[in-house]
Order: sequence, then structure tokens, then C-alpha cells
Amino acid sequence: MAYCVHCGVKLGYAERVCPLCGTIVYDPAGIQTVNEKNWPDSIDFFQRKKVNWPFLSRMIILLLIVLAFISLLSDVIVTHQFGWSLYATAGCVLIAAIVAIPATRKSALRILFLFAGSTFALIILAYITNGFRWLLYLALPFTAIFFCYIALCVWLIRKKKLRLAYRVVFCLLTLIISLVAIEMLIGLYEGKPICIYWSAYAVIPLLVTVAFFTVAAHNRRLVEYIKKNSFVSPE
Amino acid sequence: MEEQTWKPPKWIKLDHSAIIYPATMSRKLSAMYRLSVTLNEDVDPDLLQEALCEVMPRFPTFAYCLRKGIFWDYLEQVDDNPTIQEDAANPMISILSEKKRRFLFRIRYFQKRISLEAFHALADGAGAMTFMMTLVSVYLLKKHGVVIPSSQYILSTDEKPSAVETEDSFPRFRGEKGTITREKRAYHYRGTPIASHLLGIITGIIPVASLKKAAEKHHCSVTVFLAAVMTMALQQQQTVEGRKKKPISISVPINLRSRFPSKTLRNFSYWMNIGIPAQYGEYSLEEITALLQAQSKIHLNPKELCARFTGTMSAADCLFFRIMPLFLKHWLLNLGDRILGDASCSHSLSNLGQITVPEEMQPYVRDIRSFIGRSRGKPGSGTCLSFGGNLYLTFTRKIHETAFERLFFTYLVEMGIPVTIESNALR
Repeated sequence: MAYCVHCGVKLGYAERVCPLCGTIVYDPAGIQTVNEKNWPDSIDFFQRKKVNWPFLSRMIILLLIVLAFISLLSDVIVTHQFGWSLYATAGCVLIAAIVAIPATRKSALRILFLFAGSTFALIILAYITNGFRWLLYLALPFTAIFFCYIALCVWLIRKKKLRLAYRVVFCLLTLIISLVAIEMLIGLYEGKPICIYWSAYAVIPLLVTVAFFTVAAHNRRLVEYIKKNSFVSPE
Repeated sequence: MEEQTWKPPKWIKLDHSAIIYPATMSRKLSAMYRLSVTLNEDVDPDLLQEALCEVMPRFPTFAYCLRKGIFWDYLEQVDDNPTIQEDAANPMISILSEKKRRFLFRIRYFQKRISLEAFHALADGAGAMTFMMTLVSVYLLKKHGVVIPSSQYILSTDEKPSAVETEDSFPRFRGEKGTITREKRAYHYRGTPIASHLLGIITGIIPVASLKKAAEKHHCSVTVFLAAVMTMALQQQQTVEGRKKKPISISVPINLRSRFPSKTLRNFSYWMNIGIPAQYGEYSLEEITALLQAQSKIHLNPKELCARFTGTMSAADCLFFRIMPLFLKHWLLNLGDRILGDASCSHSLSNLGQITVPEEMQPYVRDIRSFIGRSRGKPGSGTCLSFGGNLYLTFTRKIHETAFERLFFTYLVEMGIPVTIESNALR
């Protein structure tokens, strides 16, 4: 048995370093040869059945298709036209687009599913309400901008080679452009002259944040200072 | 008077103190504790399995699994026999990790050591110790033919389980008036968290004689003395961390069997929080021992204890709580545990007391140890028991840093109390 030179405690036979301070046990006489362990090497892991999300999502999508088909069929049989069943179909398409997310691991495909689903649901709604103008001039461009922004953010977040601060800056800049574009779209739809009004309230604080992150990306000392003072570790 | 025998029903209610454990249990929080008996020779797994099957009918409350009802969690009988498992370096992984109709305990072996890992809803430390020691006595009978007589922690497997051993003792000793006290938020030291399936374990082996001598010098009990040294270490740690000072409080579980005549093997324990208002300044060890001794005397008064557990029981028995669906109950209990549970204590110290075994058993048993699993708020917990002239004090932790443990044990060494350290080598 050895003693820890720092803590003054006697150490068990199996200890190769002091468990309290981490000092390596140095035993010049080589007395510490007892081959006894306190604990085995094996580690327990939390075992639980994993849910097969891709399979489940495919099943739910199939169920939704059947539901939409039944509602369309029953509507035609009873009323000889497509009425309420179109609302049900639009709902089913939207739910299917959300449920399809776990069906694939590729994030680009997930975003595409969501975009296709929401666009299809919007087209159905426009058909019901005879509102193809708002669909073409407002809803579809808005959806396209939104999903393009999400796709770009996902791509940027995964771009690990680029410094985090730059990734945040690019995300914020695209958000600024998207917001301005949305306001211009609304202006066009309403037939007003193109101007920036409400989006300025969002753009100004976003620009300040962009400026902060740009400075942080170039100033490592500032980042180190923030990191150092944000967390306190015990001795 | 002959005790009434107990025929295990298909399902039983959880005892009053066990209601909280299924609600707070998760993958990270196992709400389990462990008792280990190290023999002087390697364990024979086949004989241990046989001994376990023989012991099970004597402890029918251990043959239940946890089930969810609409309003309450309950225990349902399991017809199988439990199987022993090999030990691992990270004990007490949550009982949720096993199959659905699972036993709420595990018997594990490694080299010379037999261990019991039990879910707290099943029994408390005293009940589990009886199960464990009876299992070891049956194992020794099979291995060496030694007949070990019944004693405080060993029951005869020839006897039938009695109703008093399986009762929920809380309603029997319930008082007329109850109280619930909310304490101030206590200091918790910080550190780098370790992976949720791992547990840092450090055991200090301390001669009981030198501890008693030191406790007598400070005019207090051994438990209070250890709690005082823990408070000293926490006070030092708080000063080093340099954050806003908070009260330091140690949670000490109390075995109610020593104050209320109960023979139950299920949960019958409560706790007290003893500590110092560290925000008022630095306290010396003498001041701390005097304060803690006075507080423990107040808390250990049977009338005070009765009022406190009656208060908790009244809260659980109120109509509004009873008619609440189980998922809402779990949410409410979790919230209560966050506010009233670990938040008000900095560390815990469970003392299972002196464990004595019959003379016939002594040549075969080297040591007995115990410790508890991860807590929700506290970074670590301490458990101790004394056996064969030594006190085995085990600290478990969920952070990498061992600054608190180091401060505690070096304080003891500085006082001239020898300490031997063993660990599961997780740093």
C-alpha cells in the first residue's frame, strides 16, 4: 500500500493514481504488485428499443393517403363534387409533409418534402377559394423564400470548416435579405410603391448583431475573455 | 404473540415514502442504492443464483415490478425468479434500462463481492440490508455448510413472511397534526458533469475508534462529526468558488425503526437537514459541531419527526391530489422535488449504522459497503456504515472534480485520523 504525498491518505492496492488529487503512485520498492481490482472493466449502457422512425413515418403517410382518398371518394359519391374533402386532403398533405421528415436522413430532402407539401396544400386552398392571385404573388414566393432561407441555414450550420462566428454572420445576413424581400413582396401584392418600413425594425438590431459577430470573428482575445469569464470552475 | 403470516397479493400499493421515486426516476436519475458484501474468497455464481431463488419466498415484497395505473403507480407481482448479473464499473444504471416487467433490484457479483442494487420504492437501506445479509447467509450455507443463526439483519428462510414485515408503517404511526417546512436554497458546488451512465465512486476506510475519539472530543455523535467535517469542506469550497454565499446544509436520512417500533422491510425512513448559515461568516469546526448537534437533537425528537412525516402524508392524502391523473401527479411531484428536495441541501450523509454479523459468519466476510446513486440537484452523496472496526464512507458524484472529497479526507488526515482510499478510477 502507498500513501499520496499530497493528500496524506493511504491508497488501496488497486489505485495507480490518487483518486482525490490525481498524483501518480510511485512505488520504488515495487511492493504494489497485488493484482486485485476494485471494479471490473465492463461498462453498463442504457438499453432500450429504438423506434424505427423511417418505417413509422412511411406507415403514417400511407394511412394519410388512404384517408384523403376515402374522403375525396365519399364526397364525390354523396355530393357529386369536391367540397369539404379538399380541406381534408389539404390537411392530410400538410401532415404527411411533416411526418415525412424522419423518413429520410438527408436534410435537403426533408426541406424539399416540407416545401412540396405546403405548396400543394396552398394550391388546394387557392383552388377552393378561387384565390390564385394571392397564391402566385404572395404565398408561393413567401414559401420559396422561407424554405430557401432554412436550406441555406442548414447548409451553413453544417459547414464546420467555416468559423462559427462567420456562419452566424451569414445566417443573419440572409435573414435580413429575406425580411426585406418579404416586405417588398407584400408591397407589390398590395400595389404600393416599394419601400422598407417594418422590416427596418428587425434589420437594424440584426445589423448590430452582425457587426458584433464580425468583430468577434477577428478578435480571438475578446472571445477568450468572454469564455473565461462566463464559466467558473472550482479549484 | 404470534405474527400473522402474509400471502403476497397480485398487486400492492406503494408505501407513502415511495410515491415520489417513480415520478422522479429517469434515465439519468436511477433513485437506487447499492449494498456490497466482500467475502474472503471468490463468489460462486451458480451457488449465488441458487441462494437467491431460495431467499426470494422469504422476501415477497422484493418479487414485485413497478406498474402505472390511472391514478397511482403500484407494484405488481412477478412470477419469475430474478437472475444474478456480473458487476460493471458503472453501477446503478437506471432500472428503466431493463425489460418491462422487471424486478426492481439486481444482484451482481465480481470476484469476491456480492452486491445488491435496489430501487428505493422497494425498500430502504435497513430493509435491503436484511435481504442482502440473509442472501449471503444462505450462500454461505450452500458453499460451506455453515448454519448462521437469525440476527438483526438475518432472517430464517424456514419462517413464513409476516404481515408486519410487509406493512406500510407510516399510517400506523401517523400523528394528528402535520407540518411541511420549506427551507432556504442551499449551496451546491459546481463541476464538469460526467456522462449520465457513469458514476464517480470514492470510498474512505476509517477506523471507528479514532472517529469516535474525535467525535467525543467535540461532544457529538459520529454522524454529526462527519456531517460537520463535510460542512467544513463545503464552506472551504464555497470560499474558493467566490460566488454569493448560501447556507450549507447536509441531508441526513433517519431510520424511523429506532424511534417507532416497526419491523417492516419496506420504506420506513425520513430525513433531516442540518447545516450552517454560511452567508453570515466563516464557522470553526467547534461551532459547526455544536450547531449540528443541537439541530439534530431537535429533528430527532419523535414528536417532531412524527409531525414532519404526517405533514408529507397529509399532502399525499388530500382529495385534490388523489383524484389527479398519474401524469399530472408525476409532474407535480417532480416540481415539488425540484423546489423542496435537493435544492435545500448541499450534500447528503446516510449512515446505516453499525452492521454486526453472527460469529459464524465473521470468518467469511471481509467488508460491507453501501452507496447511493445520482441525485437530481446535488453534485454528490455520501453513505457510510461501520463493520469490523472500520467505517466505510463512500462518496458518489456526477462531476469529474474531486475537490470536495479531497478537502473532506484531508481534514480528517490533518486531525490525525488515518484514511484509506479506494475508487472506481473515474476522474
